[in-house]
Amino acid sequence: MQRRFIQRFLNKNIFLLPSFVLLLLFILGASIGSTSIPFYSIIQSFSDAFFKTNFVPDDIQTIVMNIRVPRVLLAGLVGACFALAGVAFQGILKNPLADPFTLGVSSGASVGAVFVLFFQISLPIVTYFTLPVVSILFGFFTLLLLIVFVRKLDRSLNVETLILGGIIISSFCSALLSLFITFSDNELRSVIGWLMGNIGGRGIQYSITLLPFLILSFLILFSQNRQLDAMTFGSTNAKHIGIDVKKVTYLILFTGSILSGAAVAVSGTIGFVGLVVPHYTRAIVGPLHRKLLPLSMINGAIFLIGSDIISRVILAPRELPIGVITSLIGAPIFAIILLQLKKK
Amino acid sequence: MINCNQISYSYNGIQKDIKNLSYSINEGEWLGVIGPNGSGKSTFLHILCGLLKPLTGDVMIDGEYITKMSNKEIAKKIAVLSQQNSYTFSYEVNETVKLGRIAHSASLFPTWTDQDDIAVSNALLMTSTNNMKKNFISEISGGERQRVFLAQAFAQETPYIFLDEPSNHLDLMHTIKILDLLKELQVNEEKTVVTVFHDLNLASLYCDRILALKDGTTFCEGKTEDVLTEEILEDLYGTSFQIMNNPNTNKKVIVYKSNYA
Repeated sequence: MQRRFIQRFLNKNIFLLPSFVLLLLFILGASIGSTSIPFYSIIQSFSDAFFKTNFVPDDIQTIVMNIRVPRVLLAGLVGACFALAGVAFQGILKNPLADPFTLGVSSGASVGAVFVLFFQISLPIVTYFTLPVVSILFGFFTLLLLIVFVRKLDRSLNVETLILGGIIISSFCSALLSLFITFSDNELRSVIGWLMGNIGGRGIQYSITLLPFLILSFLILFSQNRQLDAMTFGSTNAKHIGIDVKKVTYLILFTGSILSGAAVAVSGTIGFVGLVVPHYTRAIVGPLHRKLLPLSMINGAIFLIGSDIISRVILAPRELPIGVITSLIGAPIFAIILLQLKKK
Repeated sequence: MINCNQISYSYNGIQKDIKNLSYSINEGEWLGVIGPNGSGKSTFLHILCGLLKPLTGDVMIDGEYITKMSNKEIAKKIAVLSQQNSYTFSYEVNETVKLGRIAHSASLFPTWTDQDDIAVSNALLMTSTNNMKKNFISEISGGERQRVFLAQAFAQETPYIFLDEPSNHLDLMHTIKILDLLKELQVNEEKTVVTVFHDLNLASLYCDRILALKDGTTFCEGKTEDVLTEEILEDLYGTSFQIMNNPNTNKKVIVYKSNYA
């Protein structure tokens, strides 16, 4: 009886527990590091920053607000972006193994980013944000290329053909990346950091750049939640029940590529977030996109903040690239999903 | 009424799968489409519901060109039960059926209305899937899943219902049950039913008219009792039949004959 009540309560408030965990990890992420800062000091720092109080010394305040918080915030936003992109691609491709990388959008975006790093390019107008802007554009370009190519093979954008096209583009992009590395001397370090994924040492500006893309993309995806549900039953069935299949497909794919492009720009290629998070979120709340989209966003943030904490703690004082942690967790889960699919 | 005028279609651009086919489906009748494998039955059905665009010719539903209609407008006219239904993620039966109401809701800020609720619970009741509405579609059998997708089609509340091989995956009891239900809908609500049949006895039991296709064009069409004759069926399928009358129902019974001596 009591257990039923709790279950019903959790069912009605599915965001309660994840939100709490997210908040907890956020503070934990800001607390852990070379200088350990207690929980209450983190909260006091926020109070100092926003309400002009004076609880903590300036050096602690600087570490929390200028180094730790931007890092944790960025990890959360990047995680949310990749997870949402994963939900979008999996829904539209009817493939639980699809994530930003399956389509080659992420690899395209990272070619753009490495291109900027290698040639030290700075575009007019966007100047400081050349890196993210170019990444998003490259992500878009990759997707357009993929769609043009796949439509030549199959006008209805068949799932298998689309993924095959993604593999071709990914292979081409990693060859390009290797080419960049071969030619680089001093730049090598930042390029390699890019390949493995990294979210440290970036200012709050990166989060501010990322945020509007995340909000816009979430609103677009959420407005299409029923269409996404219908698309998971295949394009024929979706068409029969009145979905404008082509329009929805393009809209979702474009939105997904904005999410992946923007996230890759600030963090590099962090793999498997878009694969792991939607998979587990679906296991908890089911496949309905009305619930899956917002909850995957929260869980994506949790997953990446958690991975970031692990990457900082596990070999302290040395720091692992965050992509190593997500891949260590993600690759076995990829295998597990594959096994489950084959059993079905 | 659905009119198709001189339609043709080709999957590969060389071989014509449908050749200059013209046909009219009257409101409130049950049309059965029969013919051997590869005769273009499913292709014909797919062109009628706008899934495939004909190479030449045009299709009109109630006076409107289907090529000018949006998928949503078509989905309010025609509900289709496909031969193959697939799912990627395991939705609840209830939620799967609810998707049939998408065509009736606003695209931007959809609200779930009482009418939607009634349509869904009716569809669940009609297909006897009501008792499994909280089950996941991965947990139920293939036949049950077929009924769930039929419920989804019923939830669309369309004047036209298309079924491609409805007896696929279904046992005899459920086939008869569902076809009886369709008959009831046809008679009481004047719905137009179009089915592709492999089983000629089912066609004989339920159809008002029959369109027999061979090599992508009309081989023969007419009232059920006029088309289901030994000569026509033998020419159509290239094997012999024996046809008898059931004195109780006045329907024709088609007996398949083996050519093995």
